[in-house]
Amino acid sequence: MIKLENVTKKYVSGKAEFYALNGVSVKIQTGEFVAVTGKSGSGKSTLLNIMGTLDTATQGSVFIDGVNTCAMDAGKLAAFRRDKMGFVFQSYYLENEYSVKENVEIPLILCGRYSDKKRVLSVLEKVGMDHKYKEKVKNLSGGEKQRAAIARAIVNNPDYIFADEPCGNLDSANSLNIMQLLKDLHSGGKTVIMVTHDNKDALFAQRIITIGDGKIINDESVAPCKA
Amino acid sequence: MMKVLHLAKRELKLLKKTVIIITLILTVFLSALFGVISVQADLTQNIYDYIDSSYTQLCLDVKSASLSGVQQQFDGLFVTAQKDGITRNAVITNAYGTVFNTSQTSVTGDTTTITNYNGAVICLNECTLQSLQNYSYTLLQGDWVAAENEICISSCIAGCLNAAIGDALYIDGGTYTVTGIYSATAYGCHYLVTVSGDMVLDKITAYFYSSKDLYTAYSKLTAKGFTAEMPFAVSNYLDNLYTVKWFLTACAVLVFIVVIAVLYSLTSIFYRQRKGYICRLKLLGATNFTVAAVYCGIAIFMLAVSAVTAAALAVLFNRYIMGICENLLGIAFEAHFNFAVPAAVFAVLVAVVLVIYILFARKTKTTSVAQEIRYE
Repeated sequence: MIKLENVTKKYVSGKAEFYALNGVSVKIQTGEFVAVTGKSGSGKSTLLNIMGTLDTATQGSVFIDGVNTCAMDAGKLAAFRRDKMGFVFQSYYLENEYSVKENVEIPLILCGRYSDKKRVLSVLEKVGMDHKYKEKVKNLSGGEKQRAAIARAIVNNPDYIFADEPCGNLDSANSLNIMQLLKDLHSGGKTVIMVTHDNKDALFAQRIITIGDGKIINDESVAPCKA
Repeated sequence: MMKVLHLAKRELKLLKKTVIIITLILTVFLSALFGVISVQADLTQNIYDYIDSSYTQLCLDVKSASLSGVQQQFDGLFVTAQKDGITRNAVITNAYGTVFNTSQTSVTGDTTTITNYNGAVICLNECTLQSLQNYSYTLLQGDWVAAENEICISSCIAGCLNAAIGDALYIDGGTYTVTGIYSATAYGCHYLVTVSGDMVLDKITAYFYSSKDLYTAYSKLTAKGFTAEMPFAVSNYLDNLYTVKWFLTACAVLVFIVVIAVLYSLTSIFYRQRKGYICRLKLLGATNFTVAAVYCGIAIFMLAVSAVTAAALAVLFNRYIMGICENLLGIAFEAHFNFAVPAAVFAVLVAVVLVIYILFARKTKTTSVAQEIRYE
């Protein structure tokens, strides 16, 4: 479970202060598929980053599986993230000069599981990229890159998947594939938290949280669509 | 450790070009450094050996100085001290409160008086004995000698040996009975080397066993303002040695600074060139120190390759630098390449690299990976 209590994220620029999040409290249960929507600049990505320990709150507490992540130093946060979380971004954040295999292996190496070839092949198979095992990332299409990114995100079998606009750079066909993948991961027991500005993609989730001006303005459960 | 090796191996493949160029640069500078240090170490010993074998008597003259003023530089050596035309010899061994070996030679007309004592031997030749009587040396106690097995000693020597009239002295295999004690001049050796204090001697000549000790004493005395002279040829070699040593040291320091600068720049190159990848590693759960360790490992690997290659090249540099030194010093010598030098320099540079990367890891420490990703 992820629990945010009165979380505020403030940015200061000279004398000006800007609140990306302002007193946000939310609970996400294990195994939920949550979509976070809102206009550009509303604080969606900030919320995702704080939940995913990529950023720290200015005020408030963040509990993940009962652990207060605000009390952790950078080293412990890195280990926590490595073991429990997978990330998928709009820009893929893959290493272009490495092959698909080399990119997917990185989380395994960081966890001390060197050359677990079977695991790498297994996740690539799951995302339909096993035939591109040795291909360099720079030679892949957008959809293939995102699938490779998802493979990397799940290779360590994390409990949580954080996706920030995963279909932002994809056409509708590829978007559908990616959303279906995320849905399958959710069906497999993962907690998926996805940021999107596309309402069609949000409908894949069971719960939609709408953010506006750094605050939660709506939080409702929906019947997820069947792709 | 293994994860760092795995990640470093991949980065090494990717950064091939940068790694090769930097390794070549490091190799050139390290080979120069190894050659210079090796020659410097060997050169010094070679010069000293050359002087020691070529010159039978190594001596240093100190003018117008008191023995006590320069004594510390001559501990354990044979010295002569001149005062008013009279030369006294002494071997100084810790002159503060302990017995020492001395001899005193004074020449008056055609009479030579040699007074030696080891704490044991005191000899006066017959002519001198008469001279002493003739020149009114005061007999303080007892009588002058009348037989071969009798001896007169000076008051200084009597005090040193704690000897009295009637005592038997065992000297050079024989036994002598003390028959008289006469007054010694104030310029006796005993006085010179223990209580000379304020007495300024015309000249002190110190004899050295090795040119290295000679040069050390010379440097210390001249630094303290004494007027010291060595035989010209020796001083010429040693002055040239001094110049060459400083020249080589300056070269070595300069090259070392350049190598450090290259290693520091390498760090900046890595962090700038791989900024995006570093962000992604942190996103996936790598700590700052893991990231720093990856590139530190690559830098150390490059250093190791450079050091081995440079050691081989340094043998060539060694010959070239030797040629320059031979021209400067005017003598032929052999300076052998010392393989301990690359090992020592490598160890120092590895320590420097570790410090650089620890500082970089601390500098780039942040809890907000999101900010780094945003700027990347």
